[in-house]
Amino acid sequence: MTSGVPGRGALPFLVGFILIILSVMVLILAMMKARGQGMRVAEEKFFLEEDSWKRVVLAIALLVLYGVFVTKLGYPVTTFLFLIFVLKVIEPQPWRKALIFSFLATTASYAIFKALEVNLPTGYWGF
Amino acid sequence: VEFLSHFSLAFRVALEPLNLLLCFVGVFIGTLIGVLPGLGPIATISILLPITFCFAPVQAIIMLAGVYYGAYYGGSTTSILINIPGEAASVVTCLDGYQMAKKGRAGPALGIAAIGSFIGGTFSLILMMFLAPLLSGIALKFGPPEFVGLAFLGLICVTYLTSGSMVKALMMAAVGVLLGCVGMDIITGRERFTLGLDTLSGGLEIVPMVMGLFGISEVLFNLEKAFQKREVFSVKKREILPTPKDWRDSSGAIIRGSLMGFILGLIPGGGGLLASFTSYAMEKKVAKNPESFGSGDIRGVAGPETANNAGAQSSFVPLMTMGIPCNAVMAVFLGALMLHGVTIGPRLIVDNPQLFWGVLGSMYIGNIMLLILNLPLIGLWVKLLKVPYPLLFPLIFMFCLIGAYCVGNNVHDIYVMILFGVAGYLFKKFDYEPAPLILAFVLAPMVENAFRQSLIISGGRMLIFFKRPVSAGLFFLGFLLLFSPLILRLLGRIRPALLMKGPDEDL
Repeated sequence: MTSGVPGRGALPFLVGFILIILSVMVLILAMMKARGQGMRVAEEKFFLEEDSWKRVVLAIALLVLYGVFVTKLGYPVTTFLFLIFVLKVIEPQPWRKALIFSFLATTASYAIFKALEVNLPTGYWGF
Repeated sequence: VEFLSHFSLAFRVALEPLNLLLCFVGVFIGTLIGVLPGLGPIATISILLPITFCFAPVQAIIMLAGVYYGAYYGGSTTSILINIPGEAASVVTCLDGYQMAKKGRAGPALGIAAIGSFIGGTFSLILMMFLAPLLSGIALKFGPPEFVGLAFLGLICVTYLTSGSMVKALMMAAVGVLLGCVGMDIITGRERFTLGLDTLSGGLEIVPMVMGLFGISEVLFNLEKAFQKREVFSVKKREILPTPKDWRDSSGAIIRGSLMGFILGLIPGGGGLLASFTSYAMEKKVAKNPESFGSGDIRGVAGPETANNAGAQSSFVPLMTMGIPCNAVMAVFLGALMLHGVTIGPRLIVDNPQLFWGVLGSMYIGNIMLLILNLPLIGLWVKLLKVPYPLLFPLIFMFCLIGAYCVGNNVHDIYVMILFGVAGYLFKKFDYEPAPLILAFVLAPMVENAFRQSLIISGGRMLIFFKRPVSAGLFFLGFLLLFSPLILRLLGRIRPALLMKGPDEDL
């Protein structure tokens, strides 16, 4: 290693340091703004609607579950089940609509990806 | 003579049957996702990236570029007909476009948007053909110190031009640099921030990151609101052509928009988004009757729509000639080219003329295809707008999930995407722009290497960056821009109004 040339820790250290300064700046700016408005910031709602958090959390949970199961059950099965769950749980749709839509979306995407020779995850049963 | 040979090469490549087909597929998908609110060009390009692996690089880029500029054509349709921007650059089109639709003039609004886009795109392409070889000639003379300076200036520019707080934008850039450090350090050969995980030793993949930040986060954000049915204005095909009066009114806006868009596309942080906002602000300023803006003035549609397309295309120039991506979309293109094994930088035009000129040629053709797709076939897209969001967002999830997996055939990338999806959702909530993060993420490893190489050349003396005139100049400009908000405030002024943007601001 040539002397005087920064090693692997130099850049992260420098940027980390800058990040600390910037964070303090944001904090101070926010506090100044809060004081200007008579400390009303805490009253600002985080979610748009009463039950917003349910939909958001459910969606994240379903996405994670997809990742867990896709290598075990394979692309077509997992995708079909995922779509059914999303359609029934987050913004509930009638059963008939959910089933038909999930089936069509799964088969169509499977056919397209297969035709383009994309490697899709397979399950225990080989597809 | 040189120009003619470039020209013929461009069209020879672009007119190959497979390239024509892929160009069409690209602009078709682009219009599609442009029309559909909730899925932007950045996320779509990442999703499509894995399926381009079976094509040559030039074919892949032709298709993905088509998605990018195609989205700008489609985005205006949604803005005009339902007052929701189909993608970010069409935000200002809502202001006057929707008002025109309300007055029963949806047809001419759509028509002038498509025609303006076409003119802006074509104009931009012709200038690109002259400018690109020139720029790459200059960039070829750059050494590592100049590259560091250029990238530094670029990053500062991006944080300066993003909407909202510059401090927050700088923070996002800093986080992006740290994320860019993940993986093997090229010079010392040791790992950084891998947490001992094998998947991280190769660094983070840009594709799942981008899909999370721009795709998943958007859906999560939209899920907060319970779904409502949208009202869609209907358009008749016969009404789509602008009247002679519309032409007279908007010709100035189109000319100014073309030029403005082209220039803003070249600046880091620019591109279609900035171009459309700036064009709207300018049209309002030069108009004799600015009060008519916001109540259905055709110039408020023609200018921004022309400018965003011109800017979208010219933003390829810095990437292809200097290896510097100007906006988040270009960062994804850089990632795409790297995944296809193409080295990007000033030598691209010389070493790989087929790629460069072929993509340019395909843009001409793509623009013509888009004109046809968007004028006579407008009815198709209007029907598409009636697809309800509850059926749309599961599809976006599905494509993101499978896209993240397919890039590296690795299920861990799905978790990376979800993680960035949640992060992006929180960024949105707290007004942090993700674009500087992505740019810094892509640029950081390149800059770090160039920085160390410079110091190896100079034997460890930092002065090398300030002794060489070009890099000194670039650094000077960068610092000037970085501290300009402070300087301007000291002078008792704020940032120039022209650069202010954001949907909530009164333009």
